[in-house]
Amino acid sequence: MISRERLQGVTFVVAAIAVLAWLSHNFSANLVAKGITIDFGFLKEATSFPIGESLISYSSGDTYLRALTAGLLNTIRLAIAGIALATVFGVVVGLTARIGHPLLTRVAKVYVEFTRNVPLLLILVVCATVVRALPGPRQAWTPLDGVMLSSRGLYLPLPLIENGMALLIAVVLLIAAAWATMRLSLRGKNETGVFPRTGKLALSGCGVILVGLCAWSVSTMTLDRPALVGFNFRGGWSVTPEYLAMLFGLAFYTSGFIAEIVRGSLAALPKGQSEAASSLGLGSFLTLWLVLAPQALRLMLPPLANQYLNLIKNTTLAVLIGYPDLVSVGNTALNQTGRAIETVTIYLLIYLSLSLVTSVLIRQLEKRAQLVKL
Amino acid sequence: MSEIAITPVQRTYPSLKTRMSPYFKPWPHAIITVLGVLLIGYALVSLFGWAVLNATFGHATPDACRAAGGACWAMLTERYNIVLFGSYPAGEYWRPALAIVLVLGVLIASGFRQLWKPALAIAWVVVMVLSLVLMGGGVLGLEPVSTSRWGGLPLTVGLSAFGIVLALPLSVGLALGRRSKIMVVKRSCDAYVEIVRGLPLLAVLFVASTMLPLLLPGGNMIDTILRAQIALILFQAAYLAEAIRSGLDAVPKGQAEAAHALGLPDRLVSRLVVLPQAFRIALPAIINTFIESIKDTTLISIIGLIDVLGGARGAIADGTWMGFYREAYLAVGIAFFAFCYILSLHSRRLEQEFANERR
Repeated sequence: MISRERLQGVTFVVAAIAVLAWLSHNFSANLVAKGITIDFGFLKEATSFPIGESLISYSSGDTYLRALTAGLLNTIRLAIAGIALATVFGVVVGLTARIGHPLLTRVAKVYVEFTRNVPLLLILVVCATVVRALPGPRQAWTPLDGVMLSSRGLYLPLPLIENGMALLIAVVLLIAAAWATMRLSLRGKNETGVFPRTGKLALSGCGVILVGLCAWSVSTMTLDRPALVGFNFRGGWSVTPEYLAMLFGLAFYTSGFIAEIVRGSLAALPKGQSEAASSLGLGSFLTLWLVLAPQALRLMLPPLANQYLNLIKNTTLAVLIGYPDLVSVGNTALNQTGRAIETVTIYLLIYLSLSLVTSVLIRQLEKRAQLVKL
Repeated sequence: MSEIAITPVQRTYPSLKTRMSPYFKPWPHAIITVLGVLLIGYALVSLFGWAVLNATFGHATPDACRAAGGACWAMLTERYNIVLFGSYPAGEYWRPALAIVLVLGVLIASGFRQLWKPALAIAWVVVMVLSLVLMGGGVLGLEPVSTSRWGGLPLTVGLSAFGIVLALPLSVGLALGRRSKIMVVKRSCDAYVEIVRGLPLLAVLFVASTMLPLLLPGGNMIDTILRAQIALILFQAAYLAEAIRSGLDAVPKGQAEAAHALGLPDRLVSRLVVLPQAFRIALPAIINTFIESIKDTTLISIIGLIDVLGGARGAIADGTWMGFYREAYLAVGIAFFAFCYILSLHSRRLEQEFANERR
């Protein structure tokens, strides 16, 4: 006799297949009726639209694939910078409550409530409007020589370093060497109880060379300062007003949630932890850094990962602000080619894999945090 | 019998000195206090100057506003209709207004556990039908208004409220499905929730607006508002399912075991014992999901619908009132904040209540 569970399972499968069959029947009937075909060949065709900004070289007439790649890179660029900035804001706001000043605590609370109860789109629209309403390039706000903020975006001086690539490789190699020495020396210390002298020597050698290299490159570098040419700036390193608005808006919105996570997970630790640390004579910073933060991190990571994922998903709002992210470029491509099904499929696949990659990365991080034994 | 003297507990209030001490001790706090008071005072004074002293109230022209230099509240008196009702016919504003009141009424009633009775479900159905009739017209002598003219607050309220209510049954199914012993059911529900939660709402709205007409018989017949509503329901259901699942997980296992021991069949164990408790625990989380969904409704502008924020953008987009974005966005922001903040206070209070009951 078939068990009841089995019967229910079979019923579920049959019903699901029936629904899916009905949907796909409608789908193919509609495709035939409207003469739509599914063909990703359009990706190789030439576009006829420009993209406001791109990390890879792109111009109107390149393939759709290249346009979408440029959009995806813009999304990733915005997401990474947004996560970094939101974390900084969030940690700062989350820690202000620990200072114990009632006024600061209250301000942090208002900050958190504001971000929680106002739609992100409103924040982004306001940011975009404010950035656009900044003074024009001729009246740009210049807090430091070479730093200019205007309705054309933010311009910063770009340091030009001779043999920059070689320098970068040297610095990376040095840091890797220092790290390896550190690990070896620590292993030595675990065995013998003393930090090996060769390790100390090698580490200080690395430090001296690093400082020397930096000093040398700073003394030889030239700054490419942005300058006003005609109606706009030339040179330097710049970000567009749309990017600025998106970055700041996203970071502000997400930082409220992160602040609450930081505050909450520190508050969730047993009081004895900080009391024990201060009775051992640790100051408030060392207590936080050595005792509370490592423990709070384990509580923090899962909800933090959620916020990072939200931020990545929220980069799609760029399409409503005019920053050329994946959806923005994709929608333009869709309007040009009429390839709705293909574009939508690309969105789904890309955002699902972005979410997946992020959650795998965070899970790695969580594993490392778990290794901190109590 | 000896009399026991009952003296009321004297509640002592800390002296002013004790209360003020964290503002000035240790000494760096004094600096923060002084700087903070100066900064906040300056901000308040300039806000007052902008919003009240130099502001233009009532009816006025944009030029009069520019001359006054402060906030132009006149812009809202002239343009409130576009923000609130989009392009709904001007003579019929009472209809969307009444619909909003009805929906908000039944929504507020749903926030209280004491009112969770079958009548509430009936009330929801009645309100849904009534508000749709009010908005659409065409019967009872109401002038028909095409859905393409619906916009503003009714869309924001309707899409988010109906969205959450209609997503609820689906999410209960998903949450129960994720705990099912039948592997196919569990896997499918898991996959649905995880996939939807991995997608941005904007993409889901977009998918719905392009794919729904292709997936249903009859081609392009499905209304844009309905597409948005379906997308919101399917999206919120995944998040609600997580909220309900956390509620289900929090119900002690003994409850179901005891119900089984009493001889209740599986179906009734869920319906009579586990789900009611799970709902009670999950209510704060459900309200939080609702807050998110209210904020999320602003995204419907991607498929060409106009909500409150879209209305505000439209009100300042035409030539006359361009540049008065502060007033429009401030008004919309305050409205969203007030509504969502009240909801989150309610959610926190429920959480507290529940924590107290458990003790």
